[in-house]
Amino acid sequence: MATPPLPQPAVAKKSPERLIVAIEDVNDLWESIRGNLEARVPFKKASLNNKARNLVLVDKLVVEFVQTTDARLRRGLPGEQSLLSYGFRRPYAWLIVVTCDDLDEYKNLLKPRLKTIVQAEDHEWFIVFVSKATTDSAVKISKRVYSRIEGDFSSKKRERCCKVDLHGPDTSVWEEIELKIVECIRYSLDRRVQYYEEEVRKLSENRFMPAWNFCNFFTVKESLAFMFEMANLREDALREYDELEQIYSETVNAPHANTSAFGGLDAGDDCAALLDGTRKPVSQFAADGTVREFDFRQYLFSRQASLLFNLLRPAEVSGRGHSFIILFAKILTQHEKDLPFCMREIWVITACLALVKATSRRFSAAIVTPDTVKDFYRLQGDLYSYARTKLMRLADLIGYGHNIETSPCNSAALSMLPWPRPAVWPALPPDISRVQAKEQISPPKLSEGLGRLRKQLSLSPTVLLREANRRRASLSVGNLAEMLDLSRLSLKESPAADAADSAPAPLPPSTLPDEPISGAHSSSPEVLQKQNSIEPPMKLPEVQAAAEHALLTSISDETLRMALSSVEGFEDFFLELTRAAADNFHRSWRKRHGVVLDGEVAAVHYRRGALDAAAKLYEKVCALYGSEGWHALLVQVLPRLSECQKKLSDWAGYLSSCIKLLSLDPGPISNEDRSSIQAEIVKLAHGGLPVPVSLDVSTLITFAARGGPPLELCEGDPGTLMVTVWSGFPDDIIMDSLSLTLVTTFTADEGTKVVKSVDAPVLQPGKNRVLMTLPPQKPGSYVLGVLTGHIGQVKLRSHTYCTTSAASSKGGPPDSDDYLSNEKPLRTVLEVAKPRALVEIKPAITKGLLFGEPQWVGLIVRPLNYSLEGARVHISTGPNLQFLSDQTALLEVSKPLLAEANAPSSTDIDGMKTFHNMLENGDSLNTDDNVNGILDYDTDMPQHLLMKDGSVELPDWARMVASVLWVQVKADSDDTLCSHFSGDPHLSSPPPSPKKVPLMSPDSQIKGLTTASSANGPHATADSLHESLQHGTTGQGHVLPNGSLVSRFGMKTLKVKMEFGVSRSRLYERTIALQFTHPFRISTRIVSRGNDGRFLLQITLNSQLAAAVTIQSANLLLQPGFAHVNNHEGHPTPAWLLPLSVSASSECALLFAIRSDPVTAKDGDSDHRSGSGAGHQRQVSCLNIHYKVSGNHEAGVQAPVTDSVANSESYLKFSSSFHLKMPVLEQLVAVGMLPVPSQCPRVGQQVVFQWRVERLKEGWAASQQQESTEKTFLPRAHSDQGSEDLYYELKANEEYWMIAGRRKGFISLPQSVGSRIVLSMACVPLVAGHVHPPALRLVNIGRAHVSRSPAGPHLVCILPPAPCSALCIRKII
Amino acid sequence: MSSTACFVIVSRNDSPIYESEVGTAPKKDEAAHLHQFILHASLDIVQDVVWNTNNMFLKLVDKFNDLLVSVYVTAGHTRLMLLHDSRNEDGIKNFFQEVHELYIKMLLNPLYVPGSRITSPFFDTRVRALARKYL
Repeated sequence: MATPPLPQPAVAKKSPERLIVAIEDVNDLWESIRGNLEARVPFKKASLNNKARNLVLVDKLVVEFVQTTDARLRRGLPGEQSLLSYGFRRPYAWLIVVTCDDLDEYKNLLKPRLKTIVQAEDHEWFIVFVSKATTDSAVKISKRVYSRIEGDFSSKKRERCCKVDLHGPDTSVWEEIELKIVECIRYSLDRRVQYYEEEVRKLSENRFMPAWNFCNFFTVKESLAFMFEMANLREDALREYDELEQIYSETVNAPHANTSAFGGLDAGDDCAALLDGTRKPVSQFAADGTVREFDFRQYLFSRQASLLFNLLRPAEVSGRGHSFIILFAKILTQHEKDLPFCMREIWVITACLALVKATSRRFSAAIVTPDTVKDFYRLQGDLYSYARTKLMRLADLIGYGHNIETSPCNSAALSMLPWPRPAVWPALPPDISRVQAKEQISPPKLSEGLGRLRKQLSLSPTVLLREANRRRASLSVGNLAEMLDLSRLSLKESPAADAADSAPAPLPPSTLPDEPISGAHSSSPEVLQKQNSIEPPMKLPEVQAAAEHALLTSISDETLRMALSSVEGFEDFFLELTRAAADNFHRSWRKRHGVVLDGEVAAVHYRRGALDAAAKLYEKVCALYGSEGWHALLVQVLPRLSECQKKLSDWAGYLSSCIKLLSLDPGPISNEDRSSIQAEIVKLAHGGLPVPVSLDVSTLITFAARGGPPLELCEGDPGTLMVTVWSGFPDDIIMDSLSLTLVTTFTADEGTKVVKSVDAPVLQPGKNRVLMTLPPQKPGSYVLGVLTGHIGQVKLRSHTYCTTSAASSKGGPPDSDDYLSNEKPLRTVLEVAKPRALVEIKPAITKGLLFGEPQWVGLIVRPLNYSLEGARVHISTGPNLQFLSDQTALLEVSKPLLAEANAPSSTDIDGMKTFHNMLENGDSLNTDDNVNGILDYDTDMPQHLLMKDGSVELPDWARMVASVLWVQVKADSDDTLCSHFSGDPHLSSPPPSPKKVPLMSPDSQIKGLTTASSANGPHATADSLHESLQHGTTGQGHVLPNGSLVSRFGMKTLKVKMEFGVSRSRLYERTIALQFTHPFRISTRIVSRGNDGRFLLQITLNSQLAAAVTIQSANLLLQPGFAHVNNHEGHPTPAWLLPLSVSASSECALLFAIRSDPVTAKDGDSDHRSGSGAGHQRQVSCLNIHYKVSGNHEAGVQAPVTDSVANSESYLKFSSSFHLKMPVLEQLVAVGMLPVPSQCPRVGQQVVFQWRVERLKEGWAASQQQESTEKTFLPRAHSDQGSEDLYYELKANEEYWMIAGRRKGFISLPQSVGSRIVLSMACVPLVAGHVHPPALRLVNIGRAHVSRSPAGPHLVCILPPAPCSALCIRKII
Repeated sequence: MSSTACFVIVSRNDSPIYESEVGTAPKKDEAAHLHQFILHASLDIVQDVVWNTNNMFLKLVDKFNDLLVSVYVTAGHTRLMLLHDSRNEDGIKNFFQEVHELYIKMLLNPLYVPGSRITSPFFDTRVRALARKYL
C-alpha cells in the first residue's frame, strides 16, 4: 500500500455516510439486477468485525450501490485524494456484473478485461454472472462460460463468483450475493481499520514531538470513527471520540501547550452548540491549522451525543452533557475576560435547555431500568436548576434581583456563584431612561407580620458594584487603590469562589469577590451611596442598566432575550425552569430537592398574587421540613405560608402555622416575636374568627398523668385526676376551659369520656398542674386521650401524651422517635373497679350476751380496700333491745385474735399490713392531707367516740383498717311475752323464767333500761309450771329447746346503716342478729328420799355463757306446801359447796332437802284464792343465785357495762322460778290392752279390741284430779257407793279406723283394790298396713296415776281386703 | 487557613439531632442555615448511595459548588454528615469513626432516648475536639 501523503484539509461531510459498493457494469446489465439488489438494503444479517476483531452482528447495514462511472468514485481514485481522509469512503466492495453467451468471446474479450479490472486496484471484488439464457442450449453455454469464470477467478479459499439467472425461478441467489457483499465489506473494513489504527498509533507516538499537529491526529481518528459509524459499529465510533476527547484535553492542558485562540467570539456563539455539530465547519479547524477549543469541544460532544442517540441511550447523553456543561462552564470562566459579557451564563442556560430538550424528546422510560429513569430525571432536574441558577445571576445583574425570593436555596446558590468578570464592564447605554427605570425599582419591602422572622439573606449586589467599577475602562489608579483597600477588609470572609483558584488570575488576589460585610441591609441604596461616596463610580442602577443593555444586544437566543427584556418575561421563564426542575426532581425521588424548588415556585406565585397556589406549595415545603425536624429551615418558610394563609383568610391554617412557629426551637425566633405570635392567636381567638377553629397543638402542649400507680376508683365514685400539662407558649395563656378525654382500654364500645378541669386554668410556660374532676365512671381501665383547651373560638387539641420520664423532667415535648413511639405501652391513669362490696360490717360477738344487762356489742367495720373517709355509722335497734342513742362508743383496731374468731384472719392481717404500709409510704390516694390523722393514732387504746342520735362518725385513721365499734345495748328478757303460752300439755314448756336484777345499783347510763326491765320482770308464768312438776315426778326435768320462735331464745336485731364514700353517697345496711341469753339453764329433779315425806330437790344449772361463772351464793325460796328440812334459809345442803366456779358451758347441780309442809300449803291455797299478785308469786319456788362473770367483752364474754371504776365485789343476781309439786308415789289405775283376737285383721273386717281397767289402789282415783280438771268441761262423774265412774275416751285416727260403739263414756269401777273391768270396742280398719290401734284414755285421772304396763301393741298389721271372687272368675274366663 | 465545616447528625427519621459549625472560618449568621439547607438536600443523595455500598463511610456524596458533603451511615441508619471544603478524606473518615464511637456511648446512656436531640455539652466538646484534630 502506498504511503499516504500528508493529510490535507478535509471537507467534512456531515450527512450520514453509507458504505459504498461499487458496481463495475461490464455488460450494461446493472439496471436489470439493480432492483433486486437494492430491495435487500439495508442488509439484515450482516456480521462485521469490530475494532477488537470480534464478530458483531449488525442489524441494519446500509449500503449504497454506486457505479464506477459515477463522479463520486472518480474523485476518490488513488492518487487524486488522500487515502487517509478519503480512504474510508472508498467502496468497500466491487461488484463486477458480467454476462457472456459465447465461450470464445469470454476467452478473448471478457477474461482479459476482468483480469484488468480485478488487478487494477487492491480492493475486494466479486463477479456476478448474469445469465439471460432462455433456451436449453443457451443455458448450457452460459453454464459452461460460468464454470470457466469460476475456474479462472475463484480460488479454493474464496468463492468470488455467483450466477444470476435472470429468467430462472431461483431467488436464493440474491441472498448469496448479499452474503458475498457483506464478506467483501468485512474484508475491506478489517484492512482499513488496521491501516488507520496503524496511522493513529504512529501519530500518538509522536504526540510529544514539537511538530506534532493535533489536526492530523484528529483527521485520522475521526476518519476511523466515521468508518465505524458507517459500518454501524457505533460503539467503536463512540470510543474513538472518547479517546479523541481525552487526548485533546491532555493536549490543551499540557503545560507547554501553545495557547491558541479560544474562540467563542463569533456571532451566535453564546448560544450553545453542544448538540449541533454542523454549526461550524470542522474543516475550518484544520484549515487554520489550529483548533479552537470553544468550537471543538462542542463539536466533539455533539458527535458523541448523536452516536449515543443512535444507540438509543439518551440518558447517557444527559449524564455526559451535565458534566460537559459543568466542565465547559469552568473553561469559559477561565477565558471569561476574553469572551463577550456574560457569555458563560448565557451559554450555560442555552446548553442546559438544549440538552434537556433533546434528551427528553428521545427518552423513553419504558426501555430502561427504573434506576436509569431515576437518574435521568435527576439529571434533568440538575440541568434545569443549573440553568435556573444562572438565570438568577443574570437577572440579579440587570436589576431583577428584587424579584428573586431570598430563600436559602437561592441564597446558597447565588452566594457561591461568582459575578461576571469581563475585562471591561459594559459602558452605559446612551439611553438614560433605562437608568431611570432601574432607579425607580424600589427595594423590597420588609415583610410585615410574621414575615420579619425570615432572615434576609445575601442576594445583595454590593459586590457587583465593586466588580463593575473596578473593571470600567475609565478606572483611575486612585480608585483602584481604594477598591483594593475596601476589598482587603473582607478578604478573610471570602469563601473560595468556584474556579477562582484555578483561574489564571489577571488581578491581584485581593480583589476576589467577597460576601457582603454588612449583611442583609447593605443592599439598600443609602448604604450603597454611602460606600461609594468616596469616588464617582457607576451607581448601581447604572451598572444594571449597562449590563442590561449589553446583554440585550448580545444575546442571540430569542427565548432568553425575551426573558431578560422584562420582569414579567423573566418571571415566566424563571417559573418555567423552577417548575420543570421541581417536577424532574420529584420524578427522580429526590423529594427534598423537589420540594425546595416547589417552594421557589410558590414564591413566584406569592409575588404574583396567586396565593392559593403559593399556600399549597408552601404547605408541602413546611410539611417536609416540619416532619423531618429541620427547624432552622422551617423558620424560613413558615412565615411566608402564614402570610399567605392570613391573606387568604384561611384562619385555621394561619393559626396552625402560628402554633407551629411557636413550637419550633426557641433559637431562631426571639422571645418578643413569640409573645407577639401568641398575642395574635389569642386576639384572633377572642374575636375575628367567623367559625370555630380546632387546632392541633400537640407539639406545643403536652400532658401526662402523675407518676406512680394509676388512680384507683370504685365504680360510681367521683374523683379528681391530677394532670401535668407542659405549655410551650411563651407567656401565660388563659384558657376558657380545659378538658381531657379518657379512653378505655380493652373495650371497643363508646371508648371515650370527657372530663373537665376543675377551674378555667391559666397555663404558665412550662409545667402546670391541672386538676380534673372525674364524674362517676364505668368500670375499666382508662388512659389519657386528647387534651382540649378552649380559647374563645379556638379549640386547642393535644394528642401528645408524655410517657418517658426523661422527657417530662425536661419539660419539653416528647421525642417522636419511632424507636419508642411505635410500641410504647399506654400507661393507665385511672382504674375504675367493677362493682363489689366495699365494706363489711360484722358483729364481733353474736351470742352469749346477758339479758337485762348493759352489754357491749362490737361491730367490726372492715373496709374492703376502700377508704371509709368520713363514713358515718348509724345504729338502730330491733324490738326489745334497749339502746341509748347518745352514748360514748369505743373504737379500736380490730385485732387478729378477734378476727380469727369471726372471719378469715388473713384479710385482717392484710388490712393491717396495708394500714401500716400506708403509714410508711404516705398516701396512695390522691389527697394526702390525712396522713397526719393516721399518725396520731395509738393502736392500743380504744378511742372514745360520741354517738348522737344513734350515729357516729368514723375517725380518719379508721378509713383503711378494720376497726371494731363497741356500743352498749341492753336486751329485755322477753319471757313475759310468751308466758300465756302452753295450754296444751303435749307441748313443751318454756324454760323457767329467770329474773335478773343487778345486785349493784345500775349505773346512771342505763337507768332507763332497768326500769323497763323491772316492769316486765314480775309477770311470772304459772300455767305451764305444773308440767314441769309432772316431769319432775318421773325424774326428768329437762327444758326442751324450741327454735321456732327466735325471740324466745333471746335473738335480738340491731340495724346498722353506714354512709360512706365520697359525699356519703354509698349506703351499707345490715341487720345483725344478737343472741341474748341467761347465764344458766335450770332443770329440776325431785326424788323421794324415803317414806318420811322428805325429798331431795336437785337443781341442775347449765352454764350458758362462754366464760367462767362464779356462783357466790344460792338461795331457794320454796312455794307453800314445801319447806326446807333443816330450815337453814334455803341454802344448798353441803354449804361448803359455795362459792362454786362453773367453767364455760359446763354444768353443776345444787341439792336441796325439802319436805312437804301441809301448813304452808293451806296458806298458799288461801293466798292463792284471794287472787293477790303476791300470793300468786308465792305459788312458785324461786332460786336466787348471786354470780359473777369473769371475762371481758372483747373475748366475747362480758360482765355488764359499768362505770370505768370496776367493782370486783359486785355480783349479778340470777333468779329462776319454778313450781314444785308433790311427786306421785303410787298409781291408782292400770290400763292394759288385751291381745287382738284375730291374727290379722283385714280391711273392712270388724275387729274387737278389748281393754282391761284395773284399780290398783283403793279410793277415789278421779278425785285426785279435781283441781286440775276443773277447767275442763267434763261431765261430772256420778259415783256410787263402792264404785266410781271413770270417764273414758277412745282415741283413734279417723283415717285408719271406723269405730262402732260408744267412743266416750263412763265406766264404773268398784273402789276395791283389784276390781277390774274389760271394755270392748268394735273397730273396722280402713287401710292396710301397720297402723296404730285405737287407744283408751281415762280423761279424769291424771296421766301419772295411770299405769300402762304392759302397754298395748304399738302397731297392728292390717291385711288388705279379701279378693273379689267375681273378679277372679272373670279373670279365669 | 480557614476552613468551613458543618457537622450534623441526622437521626434515622431524617431529623437533625445534633448540629455544630466546626469550621475555623468565622461564623456568619446566614451561613448556618445555608449549610443546613445543603446538608438537608443531600439527604436525597445519601438515600440513593447508602444502598450501593457496604461501607459505612460513603465518602463524598454531594457537592455544592466548592462545598463537599461527606456522609457516614451507622448501622442504625443514623447519618453523620459533614459539609466541608477540605479534601482530607482520611481525616474525615477518622473523624467520623470517632464520632460514631462517641455516638454509641451516647446511646448507651439510659437517659438518652434514641432519636432525640443530643444536648450533652460533653458530647459537643468532644466532637469539636475531634474536629480540630482531624479536619
